Amino acid sequence: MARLARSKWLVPGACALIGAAFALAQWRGGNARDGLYALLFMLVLGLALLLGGRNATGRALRGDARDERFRAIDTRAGALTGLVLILTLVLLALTRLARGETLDPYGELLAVAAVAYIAALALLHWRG
Amino acid sequence: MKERRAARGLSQGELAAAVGVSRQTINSIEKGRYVPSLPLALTLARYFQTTVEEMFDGEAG
Repeated sequence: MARLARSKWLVPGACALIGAAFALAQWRGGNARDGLYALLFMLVLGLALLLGGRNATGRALRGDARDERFRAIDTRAGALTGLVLILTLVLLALTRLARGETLDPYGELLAVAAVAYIAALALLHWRG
Repeated sequence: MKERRAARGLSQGELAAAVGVSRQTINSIEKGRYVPSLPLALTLARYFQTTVEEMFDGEAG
């Protein structure tokens, strides 16, 4: 029984990349200052995760010390997050319809969610 | 499992390190809040030189 061994740099590195992507997008959109704030926020978050691994929970959040229990918790948290997002999209879509507006972009997002869910079911069912 | 661990004078952290999980996982197993997977249950049983049935009989929730 082995833990999932991942580098402690994985999640902090992802934070930096996401921050850089947002900064680049906002710079392209003519909002360089907000892009810089986004980058700084993500760098600080990544640094906090990198340095906050003194306990098992901190290391699990960082991604390098996840045992089976934390992976199960993470999976359930992801499912709950997806459910909340989908319900929020449904609520927003209904609000737009009630106002006589189009479903954009909530219709497309709900379609993506439906396709992703069906594809995940099919894949996981096929893999056993 | 708690009794077996205590009989060996092990802390939760020491047992966790021995079987490759976090201390919180051992704590949750002992309190009946988490049911270990079969591989982990087998690892724990082998560590205590017993069977899964003897380790977890009546503890599964």
